[in-house]
Amino acid sequence: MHKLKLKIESYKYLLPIIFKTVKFKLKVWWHKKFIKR
Amino acid sequence: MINETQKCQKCKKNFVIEQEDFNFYKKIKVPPPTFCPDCRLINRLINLSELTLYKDECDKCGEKIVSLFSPETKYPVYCNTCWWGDSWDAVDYGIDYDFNKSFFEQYYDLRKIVPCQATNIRNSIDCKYCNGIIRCKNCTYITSGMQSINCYYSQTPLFVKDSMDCNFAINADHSYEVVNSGGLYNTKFTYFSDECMDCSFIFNCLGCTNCFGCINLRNQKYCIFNKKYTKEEYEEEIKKWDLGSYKTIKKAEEKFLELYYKTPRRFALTLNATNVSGDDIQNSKNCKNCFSATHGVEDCKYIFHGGLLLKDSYDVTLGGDKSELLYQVTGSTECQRTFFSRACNNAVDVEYSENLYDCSNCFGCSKLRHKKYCILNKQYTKEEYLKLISLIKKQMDIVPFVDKNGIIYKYGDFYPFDHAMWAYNESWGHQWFPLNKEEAIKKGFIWHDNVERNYKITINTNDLPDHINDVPLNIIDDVIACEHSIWKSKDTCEVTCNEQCTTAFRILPNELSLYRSMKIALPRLCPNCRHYQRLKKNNPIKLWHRKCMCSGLCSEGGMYKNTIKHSHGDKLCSNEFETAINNERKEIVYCKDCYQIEFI
Repeated sequence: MHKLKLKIESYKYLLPIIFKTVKFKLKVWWHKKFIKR
Repeated sequence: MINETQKCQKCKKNFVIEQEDFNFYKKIKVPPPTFCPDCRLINRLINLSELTLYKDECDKCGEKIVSLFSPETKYPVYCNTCWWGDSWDAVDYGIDYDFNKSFFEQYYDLRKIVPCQATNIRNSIDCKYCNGIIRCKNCTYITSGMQSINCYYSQTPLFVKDSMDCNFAINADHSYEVVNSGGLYNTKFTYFSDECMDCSFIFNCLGCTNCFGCINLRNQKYCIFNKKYTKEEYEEEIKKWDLGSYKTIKKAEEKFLELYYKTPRRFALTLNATNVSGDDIQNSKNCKNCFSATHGVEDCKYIFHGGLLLKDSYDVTLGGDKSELLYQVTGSTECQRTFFSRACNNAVDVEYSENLYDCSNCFGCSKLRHKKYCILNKQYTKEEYLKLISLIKKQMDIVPFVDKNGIIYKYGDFYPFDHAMWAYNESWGHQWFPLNKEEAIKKGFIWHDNVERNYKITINTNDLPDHINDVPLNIIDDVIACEHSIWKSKDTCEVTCNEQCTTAFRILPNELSLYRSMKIALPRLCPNCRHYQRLKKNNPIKLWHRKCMCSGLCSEGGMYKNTIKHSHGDKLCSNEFETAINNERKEIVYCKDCYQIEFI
């Protein structure tokens, strides 16, 4: 039960990282597709 | 608040144990430490190794392997496949506890017979000379990496692609020479920056694009050495800074450093952090003396490289990921109530153990998987275990371990310095607290003399073409001498640095194509020397009490002229802080308020 609580709590910090990763991938894709060429 | 001053057993310096520390030790039921925080950190660091690799043979299948342990080491070493295989069980090495011998002696004897993992590589393809990596592909000489592709000579690259020479990079693509940065695309020489694209030589920049040689910028475009240009002007100006030429890199580095020393920097690099002291802290709260603590370090003290939810812990190095109540732990994840242990994963109520996976209630165990109630790798019932544990803890105080320098180790101390897994120069200890052989031996550490290398140098760094465009394809066949080694003849050389120099290096075919596509000149140093140079960009793991260097209209000494009126007017800023930048360094250090008003 305590492990589950920690796991849920860790999403508070994991979600911004996931969001940042997705944002970064989209940014790089956009940059490669429309800006670099 | 009642603080107590104690004398460290190792360095003989006084250190303070605060009331809050006593409360923590009481909470986890351990005695207060007898070593100072610095010596405790060094002890944990010498039980971590990543960079030094040796050629060896698996002690089980005989296959040729790359190992973290030198062939003359006392530990048996298994290759990755054999170590993870079911053909052996660490419980078979279990020994009965002898109450006439000290615990540390018995535990050391056990560690010497249980097979070690040569390198820790999981779910990775085509990765050579790597350690501690998960889900990586086509990588060479990277450590502690995760989900990285085509990555070379890097430490802790997380989600990194087509990049080289990175130290702690998260989300990077086509990046070269990165230190503690994230969200990078097509960047070179990036230090402590975030979300930057097409930038080179930047320090503490956020959200910048097309910037060169810039410091402390936020969401800027087309800047060269902190000077704003129009797009056309920038494109014209940047042609002068072609990093394909080694001479230009050196010139740019010189000019960048000149600007760096003229520009104030914040006393500590913290972001979204409340009530913290230390350096390089992000998204954390209530941390004291923490360094490189990112994403969820809460109510902790003396943490070095921790994150992804690490709560209520003291003295942790390289730990976190849903962990709680750790004390004197190194290289562990998903652990709870784990003390005096190294390299454990998903361990609960574990003390004095190493390399445990999914274990609970273990004491003095080594390399167990899915086990409960074990002491020195021997299985007991719950009742037997609980009874024995209390007796052992008392016995550890009655029959302590005394090392050759007279240091006494009782319950509550980490492993003896003599029982470190690696020699000082092979471990993280040497990376962060470099010592030469004489100093290390004098301080009681083990030293491993470098393996004799019989490289046949085919090209010296002076003879390398200056520009990457002039580098021939057959450079990949050459053995290049490292700039830090002086080759007296074809076979003998003298190393001028203390950076685990490999004396020579080669350029890999994929590496060369990356240098060419990113237009970067070939390096002149071997990968180890390059790694140590990057480490020097980090602040030391120590805090000094200092005052803000803002004197109202300019910085102390007038090197930097303030651009805006500060709240303290033209008087000296009275703010004081704890910083990892000491008085002897040339940097201009500003407090949070003065820094923010100037740059944000």
